[in-house]
Amino acid sequence: MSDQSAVGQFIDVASAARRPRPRDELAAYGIVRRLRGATVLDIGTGDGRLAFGAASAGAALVVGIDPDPSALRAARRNARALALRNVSFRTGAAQDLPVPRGRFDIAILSWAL
Amino acid sequence: MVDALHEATRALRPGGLLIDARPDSRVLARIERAGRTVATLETQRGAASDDRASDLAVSRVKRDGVLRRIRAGRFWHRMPFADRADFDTYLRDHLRFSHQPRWTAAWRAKAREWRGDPLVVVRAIRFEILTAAAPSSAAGRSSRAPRARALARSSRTRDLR
Repeated sequence: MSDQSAVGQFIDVASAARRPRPRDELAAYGIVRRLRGATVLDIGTGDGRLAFGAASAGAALVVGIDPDPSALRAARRNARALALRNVSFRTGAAQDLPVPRGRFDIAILSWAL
Repeated sequence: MVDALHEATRALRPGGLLIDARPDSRVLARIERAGRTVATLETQRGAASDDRASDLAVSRVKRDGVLRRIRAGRFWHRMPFADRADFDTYLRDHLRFSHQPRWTAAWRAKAREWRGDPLVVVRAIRFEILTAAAPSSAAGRSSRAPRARALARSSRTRDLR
């Protein structure tokens, strides 16, 4: 696989259903306390699974990035259902992130690299 | 992949953390029935190759002094299935796992009898926590931020049930 094609693939949103629970995954990384009040970038967010976990753990702002518009539609739907106001989603690829320089305390590449 | 790591680093504040997490294809996944391993699952060649490319990309940005490791670890992800049919449906189109588990002799001997029993796939997830390397290569342990030091002390391996 070439370096260019390796990131930015569309992954079936349904496949996220078998991923670890976000709370468990974030706890395994040992960053739960650090999430409080943090700005978080979730690269390859898919349906927002981990972004919602970070938002629920007290992050001030979570931005989820994914190249797949259908995944982001699902993510935005989920955000509305969860009434989370500290999460937003943007279409973009990991190689060219639509975010400003030096904005985030934590960037997560979960199943994304 | 290297580009993605550079981009993620660009988005971070000074002292920010980058977390890279992926299934660990160097470790065989196992299938458990009633707490005992009844099969192992290999990773498809293409997925394993992608994983190696990702590893190389991370190694490269560390070697180039873009990022440095704060901590690395692994946890176990358990995926429950109602029965063999449920598991087979999951495996049929799986992009990472081999579609042919290596069943143990014990399973093969009782396959029909155990067909309706719940199964659990247990797979390793590896992660690495990185931070932007200081511009000076003299950035050693003493230069770490206190929070980064605290993070480095926390436990390495967990079992997620």
